[in-house]
Amino acid sequence: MSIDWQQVGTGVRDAVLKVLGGSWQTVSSAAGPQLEAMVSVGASIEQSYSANRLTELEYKSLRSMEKNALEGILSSYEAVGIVVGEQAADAAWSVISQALLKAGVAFA
Amino acid sequence: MFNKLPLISLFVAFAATVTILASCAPTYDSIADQMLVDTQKQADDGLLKLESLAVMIDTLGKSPNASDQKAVADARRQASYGSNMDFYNNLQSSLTTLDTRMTATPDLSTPKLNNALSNLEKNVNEVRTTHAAENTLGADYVKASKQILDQQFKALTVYELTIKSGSKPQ
Repeated sequence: MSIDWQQVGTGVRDAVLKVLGGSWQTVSSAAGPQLEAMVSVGASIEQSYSANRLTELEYKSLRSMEKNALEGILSSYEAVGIVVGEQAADAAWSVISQALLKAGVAFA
Repeated sequence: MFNKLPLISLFVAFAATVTILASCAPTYDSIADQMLVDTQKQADDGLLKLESLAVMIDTLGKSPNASDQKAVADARRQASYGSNMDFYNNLQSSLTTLDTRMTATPDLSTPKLNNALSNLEKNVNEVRTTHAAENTLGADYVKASKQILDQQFKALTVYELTIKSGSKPQ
């Protein structure tokens, strides 16, 4: 039975959305094309295996690598989301400290 | 005056939270960024060489021509696991150094970054283990491995560029 890779792509995106939650909006422009690329690599692995251009061991290894890579990429984007949050807090703190400074209040 | 107290408390709590978060924001490290670029290049160079050798073995392997067979034997030797142990040793060493540098100053994102780097190291080890077991790798395997590793490097590059774009000048 052939695999509907478009449906796989949608499934991957839905799964990632659940993990990244609100951070998705921040990282979607970079993460979206990367997820599509990973689905495309998955499709080419299946094609190579069907055409006997991969040994059994190579096929198992690539499937394992795909799983590790998806987990790693997802973690990278979770980290990006956290950094963006930290940078936003940094910017907010600058505004607060400026206001406190103007008011003559020593804080921090 | 008493009505203002809860508002002030709220403001102080908010400011304290922001201070804690802001103090955690990572600073851009140009050395870590350069190491990431260099390590990806190191992986790409080694895998491109292996892919090119595998294609040569596939293409000339069926030729009855004696000089082609000599070229195939030479390509097999260069593509063997034994001939590429230095590549894996150097790449794994670079990844360890990269990991140390990128996570040297912990912030809230470090546990996620640790996981991303650990999965990259796992995948390089996966290629190495497969190469050791098969002695020479097929062109399709090497090509797909390179594509997968490149996507992992790309996500880490986005992380570095995010820090760079949001960092205050040093």
